[in-house]
Amino acid sequence: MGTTDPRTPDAELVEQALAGSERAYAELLRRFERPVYTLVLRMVRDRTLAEDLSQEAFLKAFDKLPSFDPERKLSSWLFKIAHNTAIDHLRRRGVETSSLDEPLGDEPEGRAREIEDAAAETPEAAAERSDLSRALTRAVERLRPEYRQVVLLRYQAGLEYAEIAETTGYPLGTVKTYIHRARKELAGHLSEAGWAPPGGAETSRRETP
Amino acid sequence: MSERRIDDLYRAWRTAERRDEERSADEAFAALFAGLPLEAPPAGFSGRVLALARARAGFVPAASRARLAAALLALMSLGTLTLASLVVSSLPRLDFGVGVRAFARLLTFTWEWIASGMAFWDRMAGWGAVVAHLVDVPAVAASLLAGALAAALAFVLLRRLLAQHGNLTYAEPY
Repeated sequence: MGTTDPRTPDAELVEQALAGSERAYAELLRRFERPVYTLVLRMVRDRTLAEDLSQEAFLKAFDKLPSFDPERKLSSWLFKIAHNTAIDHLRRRGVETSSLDEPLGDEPEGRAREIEDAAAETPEAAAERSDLSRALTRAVERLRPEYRQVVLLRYQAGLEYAEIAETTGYPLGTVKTYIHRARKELAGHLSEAGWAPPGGAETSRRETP
Repeated sequence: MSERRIDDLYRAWRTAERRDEERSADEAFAALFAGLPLEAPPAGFSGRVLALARARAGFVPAASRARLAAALLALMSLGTLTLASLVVSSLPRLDFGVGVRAFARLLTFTWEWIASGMAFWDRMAGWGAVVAHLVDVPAVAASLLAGALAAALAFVLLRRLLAQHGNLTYAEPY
């Protein structure tokens, strides 16, 4: 099996996949496995479950691919499927997606991973960024379920307010309110963790103990 | 994302939040969130998904589909040619008289089959007429109606009983 050009637009990849190209499916997976897995993981907070649900989401997406509208953004479409898969599972199991005080990702493999230009950073800078990333990730995990849900859909999946309303079933006004309040709450959690706002008495960096 | 960039985004977000600038806060937070590291699924994840999709016949490579279609077409052509050659080769050996006799036998058989079906329906119609005469008698009609009502009540009772014991669980016999 060869490779598909990583610059191929998503819509073209979908066309190739629909024509039966396994390479196109593999490329779609390569592009979206991390974002989809991360979204599901942040929702269910369990790595094994997140893997199963991400897998289920991809299989559903592949089944529904003929109905995908190429005018839409593929990532948003995939995130919606992943979100709905996770929510359906949680509802079926009657699991409350409550915020927990114990943060996810403290195990070695859960440590924040570096992103694209990480190689260009100094170790200190990387550690600093990683600290803030971890603090923010933990703050998101502490949010109440409805807030976390809309925050992930808005800022990780990149959905518009109307799309979030459609996906979650919340009225549009509620979505806006939840997102606004969730950000305020996140700011509060980060301040508690030592990431004070700029212009305050504290510095914007947490002091290393 | 560099240290400076994430620091700038964080400052921009917190400043916008403090000033209640909704749009700026939204944009800055979106940029900050985009810098959060993504988690990688366990090794071999995409391979497993692809294997499952293949097993579910989610996709068949175009080349395989073309090969399959060509093979089917070839098989159908071969079958048609063979059948045609068989018919052509056996034509001179066919006896006209045998053909007429076989056709006549087929006609007779078909007629007998239709006649037996008609006789069956005739018998059914006869029974129907007898029942109709019986139902015409008020006492018989009343007893039939009572029987139907009793059966309906029995069914309702049975259904209620089943609903009351709906939590019965199946146990393996061994």
